Amino acid sequence: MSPTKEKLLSKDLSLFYGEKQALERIHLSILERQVTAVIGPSGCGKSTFLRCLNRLNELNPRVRIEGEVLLDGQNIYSKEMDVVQLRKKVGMVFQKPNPFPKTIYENIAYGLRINGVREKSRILEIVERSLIQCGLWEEVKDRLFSSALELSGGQQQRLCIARAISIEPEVLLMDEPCSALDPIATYRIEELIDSLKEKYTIVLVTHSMQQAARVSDYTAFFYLGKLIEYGPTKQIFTNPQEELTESYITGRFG
Amino acid sequence: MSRKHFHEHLKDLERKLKEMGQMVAQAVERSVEVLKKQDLEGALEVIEGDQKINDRRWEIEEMVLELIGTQQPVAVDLRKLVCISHIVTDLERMGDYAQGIAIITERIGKEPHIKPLIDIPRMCRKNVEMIHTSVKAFLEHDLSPLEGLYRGEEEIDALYDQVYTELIGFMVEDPKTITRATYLLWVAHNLERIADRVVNIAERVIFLVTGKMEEVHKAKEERKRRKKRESSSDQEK
Repeated sequence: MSPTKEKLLSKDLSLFYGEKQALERIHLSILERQVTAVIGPSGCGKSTFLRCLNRLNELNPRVRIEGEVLLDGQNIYSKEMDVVQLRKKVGMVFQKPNPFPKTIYENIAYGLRINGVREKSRILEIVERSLIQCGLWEEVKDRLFSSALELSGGQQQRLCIARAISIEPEVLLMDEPCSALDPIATYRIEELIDSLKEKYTIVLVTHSMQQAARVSDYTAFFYLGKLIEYGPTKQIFTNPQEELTESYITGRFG
Repeated sequence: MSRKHFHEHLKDLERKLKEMGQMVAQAVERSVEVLKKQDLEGALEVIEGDQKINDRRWEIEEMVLELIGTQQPVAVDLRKLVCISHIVTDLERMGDYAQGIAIITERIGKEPHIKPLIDIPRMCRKNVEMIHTSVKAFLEHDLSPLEGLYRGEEEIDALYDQVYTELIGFMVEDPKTITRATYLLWVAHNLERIADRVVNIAERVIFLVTGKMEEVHKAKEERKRRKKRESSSDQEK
């Protein structure tokens, strides 16, 4: 694998929910245009970590964060950072598909309009391009103005990914994007992740370590709020260096 | 890695296996060629060339390990990966036998052979053909060439018996030939072992295609014993 640039760097990042420390000095580098999977048992802090990468945790007033997260070298927690701009650059896809209760077209067009795209032909062009990128165009091109809620769960999730990429983010955060989907829909999302990494840096939190093994280039293993091991996925799943990682991925605990 | 990429990786693995088969077949062919010509430089090339075969084996095993470890292969994909990992071990060992023949060639040096080599090159040619056939059968999921491979192996066994009897005859007749005859016996033995390894590959083809684990050797030995019993009872009559 050719060496790639560091896109995100979590630098000694700690997070507290009130008194309880949920993340302990996480130092982790996320490489550009690679898929980095974050795995670990429930409550290990993987989703909390992911939400730190676009400042979603600060919506909770009990949360206190120490350390830095650098996006292209710039600390996203600095006062100069515009959170709206940050979230434009760092998009997010959630566990359960959450399309707006509007038409398929509107789900994508809405985000574009609030980001200043006004011209109808331009919006249609981007809607089409995003749906094509997510492999959804052929399935929905004849019913763009039907409700997004009529789509299957897998289609809804791909629509949410299309919505996220329509504003051309640089990083895509995915929080267990397949946990509500059947195996075939899961494979389709995995194929999509594989094709999206040509353009985007992807951080994937998953409770399925098999999924992490299948789709990611790098894997980080979290346990009790600590980063235990990080390395190429191939290495983590064939010869992990830490005993704890080995015990977890071989199913000896967790 | 998407499923499409996984299958591309499998194809890549198959390509590497095919190449390894060619490398081994070439080493076997060359080992007997240098023995026949008593070409010591050529023998050294065969000995040193074995490293490339060993490296290829580790490379393939590592790829297999990665795909099993990360892609959760199932059904025919899983059987294929497990088979490949066994086949490269067999091929690698065949490479060692070829290297062994080259080492014997070095030991014989320029001392003239006790007889022109006829059956040994014949065993070699048959082996080379069988290596190609077995790897091809595996790559094409094709059971049809297997019967020919078993017959080929029996043919090589028969040639080995013939060489053995002939060389023992030389030794009995003239003890001065014992060392050189023993060397040739080793060569013939190595060639006989290579054919056995080809049969191992055939067993993997059966497993790949049908999912059944069959030991061809066992069936063959049973056939041989039955034949022997029948012929001895005929003689008694």
